[in-house]
Amino acid sequence: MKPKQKNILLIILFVGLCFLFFLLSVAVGAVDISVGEILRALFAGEDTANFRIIYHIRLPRTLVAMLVGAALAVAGIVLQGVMRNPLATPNIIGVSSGGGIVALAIIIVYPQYYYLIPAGAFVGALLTTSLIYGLAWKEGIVPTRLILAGVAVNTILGAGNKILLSLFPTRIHGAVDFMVGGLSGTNWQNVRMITPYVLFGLVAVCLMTPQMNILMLGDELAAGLGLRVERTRRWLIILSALLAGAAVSAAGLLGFVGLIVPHIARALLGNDHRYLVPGCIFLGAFTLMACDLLARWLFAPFEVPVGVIMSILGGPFFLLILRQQYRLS
Amino acid sequence: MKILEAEQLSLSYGGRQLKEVVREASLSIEAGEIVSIIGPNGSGKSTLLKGLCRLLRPTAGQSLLKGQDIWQLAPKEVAKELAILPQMKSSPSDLTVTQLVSFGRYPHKRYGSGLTEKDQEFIRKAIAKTGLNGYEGRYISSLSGGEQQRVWLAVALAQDPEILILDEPTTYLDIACQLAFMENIRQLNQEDGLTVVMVLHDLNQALRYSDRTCAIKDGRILAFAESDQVITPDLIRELYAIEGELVDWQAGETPFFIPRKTSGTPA
Repeated sequence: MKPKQKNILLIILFVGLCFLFFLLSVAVGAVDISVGEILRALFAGEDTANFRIIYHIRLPRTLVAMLVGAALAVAGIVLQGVMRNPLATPNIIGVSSGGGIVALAIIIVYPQYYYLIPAGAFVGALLTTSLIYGLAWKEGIVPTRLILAGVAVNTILGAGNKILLSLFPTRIHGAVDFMVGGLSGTNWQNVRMITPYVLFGLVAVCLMTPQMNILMLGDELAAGLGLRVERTRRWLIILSALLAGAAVSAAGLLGFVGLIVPHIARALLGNDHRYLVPGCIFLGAFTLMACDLLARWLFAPFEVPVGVIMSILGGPFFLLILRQQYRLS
Repeated sequence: MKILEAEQLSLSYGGRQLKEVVREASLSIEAGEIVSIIGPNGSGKSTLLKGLCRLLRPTAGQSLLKGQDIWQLAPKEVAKELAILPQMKSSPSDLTVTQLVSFGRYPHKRYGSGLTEKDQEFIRKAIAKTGLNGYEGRYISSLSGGEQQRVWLAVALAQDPEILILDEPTTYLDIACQLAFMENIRQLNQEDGLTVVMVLHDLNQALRYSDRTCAIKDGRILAFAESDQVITPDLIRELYAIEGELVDWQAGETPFFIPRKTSGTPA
């Protein structure tokens, strides 16, 4: 089979998985609801108790999981390309924490301005990414400088988060969920808040896939082919900050989605961004829905934040990538 | 016709502590010739090359492509006339030769348009001209260093350029691959009239394959003339601080430069 056909089939498979887990995510929970009832609730709009559970609790939560998963996965793939580093993901190089501190400040100090959370998180994420990019730049991005600068900036921002939590101890309800990354309590307000940002970001990245492919060949070669390298990189950084910022606004400091999903997608689809980006959108949405389902089901009737599940899976995954890297070099 | 020119070109690296690497260099390259740039490490030869082909913005002076300031032209317009084979490049390992070569059509593409029959024709031609027939479906990671360099040359040819810029193209190749690569360049020059500007370390390759040679030291052009006028014992002593001599080994053939020893402290 040709790689092109294989990739298209794989992406169709990811879309199928998304659909399946969308239904599962809506059906499974404290009250189990049959597929027939879901479809009736979705399309006929019968106002039963189950309809209310589906409509007000599970549906927005599932939609947010999909949007956040897709946003983080694509932000990860974009950052890996821009920084030319497989470990450059939103939460490692500080994009998430930069967006997070602004979002947390709004949640804790000015909760009445909740609608500014995504915009604020975007600005925070963009400033942090630019700062780290600047620190790591020395006639090109130096990988170790990038990771070290990311760790340093992350540490400082982490301290900032803790200062906020210490100064406003009475308002930290929900802040713990925010720090690990979780989806409990998400509602339609969250969906409406982040959808425009995520959709815009995803579409824009899809449109930039030919340029991302050229960028893989190295800066000088890309420039020689007529690509405006710095301008392209700047746009990609802005888009990844937009996506990561939106994700942080709804799900908090959710780690590892931006690391795990791009790596699995790369292993399955190869390095052509024209397949990789759409693949990441659906694989990201699926992964977060599946992990959220696990988080709800594992200790039912209690639920753990989905960020915990991602960390348990993500830690070993990180080590696996390090191992592969050393074997290659 | 002057196809590529530098006018009082000054080039620097670094933000605050500007380090001037090339100072007020002027030279002009004629259409259809092969020019080598030689000089010691750190003399600014690669930098001059970058300044010539729009990779590095000059701090003063300008570089002209067919009489037009190269920085006034859109990058894609430049890429249609001038192809660059840099030292540093990287390829994802899962690309095939044809896929990589097709990136050379990028400057000719409007946004999002696929490869046309005409593009395919240029890709086939580039592959044929670099002797890569039969390699089309091979993965880049499965090729030797010499074969990979030919693929990168094919990427540049797929751009359908008039000028080819090469930065130390033979540095990491074994002697057979070096020879084959230089022969390939000469053939492209003779058959297609391709203008070639390259940075070389091997003086004998410069003598043998280039019409003119530009010698650069400490960021200034020391000499720019016919290669056998530049690669002489006197000039090479001034350039590299080494003693050597030109040896005629056969009548009518290009002489060889034989380095003997360093001449103590550099001049």
